[in-house]
Amino acid sequence: MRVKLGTLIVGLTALLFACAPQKAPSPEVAKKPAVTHPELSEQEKWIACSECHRTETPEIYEEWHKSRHGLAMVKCFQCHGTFETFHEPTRETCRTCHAKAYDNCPKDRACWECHTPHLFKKHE
Amino acid sequence: MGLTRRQFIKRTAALTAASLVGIELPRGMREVAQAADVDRWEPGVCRFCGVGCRVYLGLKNGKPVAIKGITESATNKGYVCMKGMLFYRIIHHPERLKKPLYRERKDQPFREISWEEALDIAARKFAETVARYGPDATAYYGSGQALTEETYLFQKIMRGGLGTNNVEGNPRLCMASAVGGYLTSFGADEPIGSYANIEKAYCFFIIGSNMAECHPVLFRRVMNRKLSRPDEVKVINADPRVSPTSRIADLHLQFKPGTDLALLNAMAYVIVEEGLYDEEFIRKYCKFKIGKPPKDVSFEEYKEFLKQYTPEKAAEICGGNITPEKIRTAARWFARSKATMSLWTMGINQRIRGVWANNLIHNLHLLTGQLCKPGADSFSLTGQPNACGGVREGGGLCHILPAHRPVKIDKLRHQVEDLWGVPRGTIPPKPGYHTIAMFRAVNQGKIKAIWINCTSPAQSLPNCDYYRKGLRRDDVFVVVTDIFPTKTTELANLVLPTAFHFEKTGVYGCTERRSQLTVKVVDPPGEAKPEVWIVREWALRMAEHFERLGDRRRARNLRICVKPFLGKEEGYELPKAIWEEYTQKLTKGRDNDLSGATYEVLRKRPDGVQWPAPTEEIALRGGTPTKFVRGIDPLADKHPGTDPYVFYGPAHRDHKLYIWLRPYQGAAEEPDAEYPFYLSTGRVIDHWHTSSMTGRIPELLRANPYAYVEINPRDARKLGIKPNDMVEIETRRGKIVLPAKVYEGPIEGMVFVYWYDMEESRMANRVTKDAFDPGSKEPEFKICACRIRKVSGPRPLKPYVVGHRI
Repeated sequence: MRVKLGTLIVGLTALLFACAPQKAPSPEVAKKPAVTHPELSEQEKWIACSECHRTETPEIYEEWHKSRHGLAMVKCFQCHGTFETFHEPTRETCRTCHAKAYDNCPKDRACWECHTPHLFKKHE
Repeated sequence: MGLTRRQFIKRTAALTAASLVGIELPRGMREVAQAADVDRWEPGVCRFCGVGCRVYLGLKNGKPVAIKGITESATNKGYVCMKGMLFYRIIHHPERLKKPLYRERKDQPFREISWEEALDIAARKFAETVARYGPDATAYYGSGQALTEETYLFQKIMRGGLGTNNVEGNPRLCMASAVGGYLTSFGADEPIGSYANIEKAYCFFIIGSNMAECHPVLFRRVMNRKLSRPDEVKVINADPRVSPTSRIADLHLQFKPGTDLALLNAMAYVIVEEGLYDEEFIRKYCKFKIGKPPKDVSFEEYKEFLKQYTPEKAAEICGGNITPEKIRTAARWFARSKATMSLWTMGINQRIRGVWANNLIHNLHLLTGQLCKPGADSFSLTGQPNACGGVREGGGLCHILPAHRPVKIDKLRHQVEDLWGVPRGTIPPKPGYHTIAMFRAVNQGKIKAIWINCTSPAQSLPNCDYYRKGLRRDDVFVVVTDIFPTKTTELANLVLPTAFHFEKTGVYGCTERRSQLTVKVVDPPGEAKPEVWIVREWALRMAEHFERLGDRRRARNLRICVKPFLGKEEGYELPKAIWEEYTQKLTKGRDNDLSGATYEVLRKRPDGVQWPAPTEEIALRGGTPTKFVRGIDPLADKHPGTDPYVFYGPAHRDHKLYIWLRPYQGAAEEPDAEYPFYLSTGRVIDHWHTSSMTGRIPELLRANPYAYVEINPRDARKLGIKPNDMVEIETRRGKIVLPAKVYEGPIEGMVFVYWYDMEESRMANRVTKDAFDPGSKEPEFKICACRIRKVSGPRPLKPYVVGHRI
C-alpha cells in the first residue's frame, strides 16, 4: 500500500508540474494549494464528480467505490466541496462523522497520513 | 449546446493531456478549517429522514457553521449523511421566507403584510368557512417533519376548536400501510425493537427499501455488521431495482413490480413445508386470520392456502431473476439464522395492497419466532424525522386522536374531550378525509379553507396536476406555513414564514419509538415564527371571529384549547407546556406512555427516551428498547402470567399476534399493450423530498442537479436510447421528459424516476397514479403503467428550485 500511495503522490506531483499553466499565473494564484482541474463550462459543472472520475481517475474511483465510504455513499463533495468551493479535506471535515478519532488522533497530522485516502482503512 | 458525456470525457482527456489551466481553488485547507472552527456545539437531532441521528450544531459568533455527529449516540454512533452534514446552511439561507405574504386571488402577486393582518385574515377565513359551510369545509394537512408539539396543537385546534377530523399529513403517503400492518398483525403500531438489533442480527431481509440512499446512516450500521462478519451474516435484498443497497447483498431477489405478495407467501410456504417454523411460538402467541371482518382459521387451512404459492408457482408470477431455489434459499436463511431482522419502506408501503404486504413480512417473523429476541425484529423504516412521534402518535391523521386512539371509539374520544376540557360531542365520531379524499374534496369545492404545514402536496401528491387544479381554485383559501417558496406556496393565498430546526424547540420521535428534544439556539430570520406561536395566535383570533359570527360554542372551545398555553414564551416555554399536556395527560396509560419523558428528563438524557416510559425513573434509563418482553417492558410486567412475552397491543384484546392469509394481488395499473412499461419512483441520497431545502445547498444540488429516468440496458437497446438522451414518459395522467440513465438498475420492462425534481417537465408525480390501498389509504406511488420514447439526443439541462437563484 505504501508503494502504491507513493506512486500516486509522485504521479500527481509529476502531473502538476507537467501540466503547468501555459500563461503565467499571478503570484496570488500560485500560492494556492497545488491542485488543478480542467476548466469546465457552466453546463459541464452540472455533472457529478464521480461521473467523469470513474473513467478519468479510475484507480482513485475504484478505491473509493470499494471502500466503506463508497459503500455508504459518502460522495466526493462531502469531503471536497463543489467546483466553486473545491478544497482538500481538513481534520475538521473528517470530524463531522469521526469526532472520537478527531479527539484521539495526533493533532499535528492530517487524517489521511495514517488512514489511506479514498480507502480509509484503519491504520494497522 | 450541451455535450454528451462521451464528448465531455474526450474533451476532459484532451485538456488533461494538453494544458491544465486549473479551476481557481478559492478555499485552501486553512480557510476551510477556520470556517469550521466553532465557539460552541449545541446538541439536537437531524432534520431529515426518520433515523433520528443525534448531531451537534457548531456555532461561531452565534452563527451556525458546522454539524458533527455525536459519537455516543444510540441512533447514529456519530455518523451523519451528506444531507445531515449540511443542513445548518438552511438556517441562515438568504432565500428564507421572512415576512407573511398575502394575495386575495391566486392570479395576483403576493404582497408583504404584518403578522397582525396575516393572522386576522387566516382566522376570519376559517371562521367564516365554518359558519357558512360547516367545520368539514376546513382542513389541516401537516407533515412528518413538523415537531410533535406542532402537530398536536394543530390537531387540537381543528378537533377541539373547530370540531372537524379533517386532520391529515404526508405520513399518509409513506407510513400508513406500515401502521395498518402493525395494527392488524401485532395489535399495536410501531416496531417492537430497536436499531440495537442490527448489531445482533445474522440475517437481514431488506425488501422494498433502498436504505443506502434513503436511510444512509442506518444502512451504514447494517453494512458494518455485514462487513464485520461477512460469512456469518447474510443479507437478502428483494427489489425490482438493483440499488446501492444491493451492494452488500448476498442474495438479490429481483422480481417484477407488484409480485411481492407472491414472493412473501412462497417464503412462508417453504418455511412451513420444510418444518422451519417455531411450533411453540405459534401455539403460544399466534392465531391465523382471514378476511374482513377477520375470521379465525386453523394452521391446516393456512397450509392449504399456501399451496397456491409453491416456489415454482411464485417464481413464475415473480419473473425477473427469481427461481424456486432462490426463494428456498431466502426462506432458509430467514428461518434458520440466529436472529433475522426485516427492514422495509416505501417499496412495500406504497402499494395498492401495502397493508397486506406488511402483514406477509410479519407472517415470516411469527412463523419462525424471529421476534422479541436480540437481533430479531420486523422493523419498518420511517421516511421522515417525526412521522412516528408527531403524526402517528400525536393524532396527526384523520382517523386517530393523540396516543393511538381511534377517533370512532366513543370511550377514547370522550377521554380526549375530557382531558382537553371541551364538552363531550365536540369531536365528531366520523374520521375526516384521508389525504387523497381530502384533496379530491378540495377539487370538488367541498373544502373551502385548507392549512398546509411544512410539506408540498402540489409536488408530492401522486397525479399532482389533477390536485393542483383544485388548489388553484379561487374559492379555496390556501394557507401555507413553510421556510422556503415551494410548488405549493405558488398556489397559496397566504404564506406564513416559519422557524426552522434549532430556531425553535420541540421533540422528534424517530423510527425506534425514540423521542429526542432539540432546543432553540438561534433566532429565526426576519419575522419567521415557530408554528406553535402561529397556531395559538390564530386560534385566539378565530375565537373573536366566531363570537362576531354568533358561534359562542366554538369561541369558548377554542379559548379552552389554548388556555394552558397563554402568555408562554414561544421559543421554549410554549412548546414545553404543549409537550407536558400531551405526554402527562394524553399518553398516560396508553401504549405509547411518555409521561416520564418530561423536557427536564429529555435534556438530561440526550439520547432521548423510547416509549413506553410511564415514570421518570424508567425514562431516565432510556425507556423501553423492546416492547412486549417481560423484564424489559414495564407495561408487559403489569400483566399476570409467566410467559416471557405479553402482546398487550390495544387493537388485539386477545393479546395474540395474527398470521394473515393474504392472497397475491398485483398493482392497480399493470402494463398493457398501450402502456407496456412499469414506472416506479423513488429518492436519491442527495435530496430530501421535494428538494426545496436540499436544492438550495450547492453541494447537494450539484451531486444530483436534475432527475433522470433509469432504463435497463436491454430496453434501451430495443428502443435506441443512449445515455443522456431525452426520453418522454407518458402515462394515462400526462407526460414528462427526462434524460436517460442506462444501467443494470431497474428490472427489464421497468423505468425508475427520482421524484425530487421541481422542474415541470421532469416532475415525476405529474404522471404517477393516485390509486390507494383500501385499508391504509396510502397511494401506490411505486407502480403504474407507462410508455417511453426517445425525443432527442442529449440537451443542456439546468436544475430548477422554486425561488432559488442558481
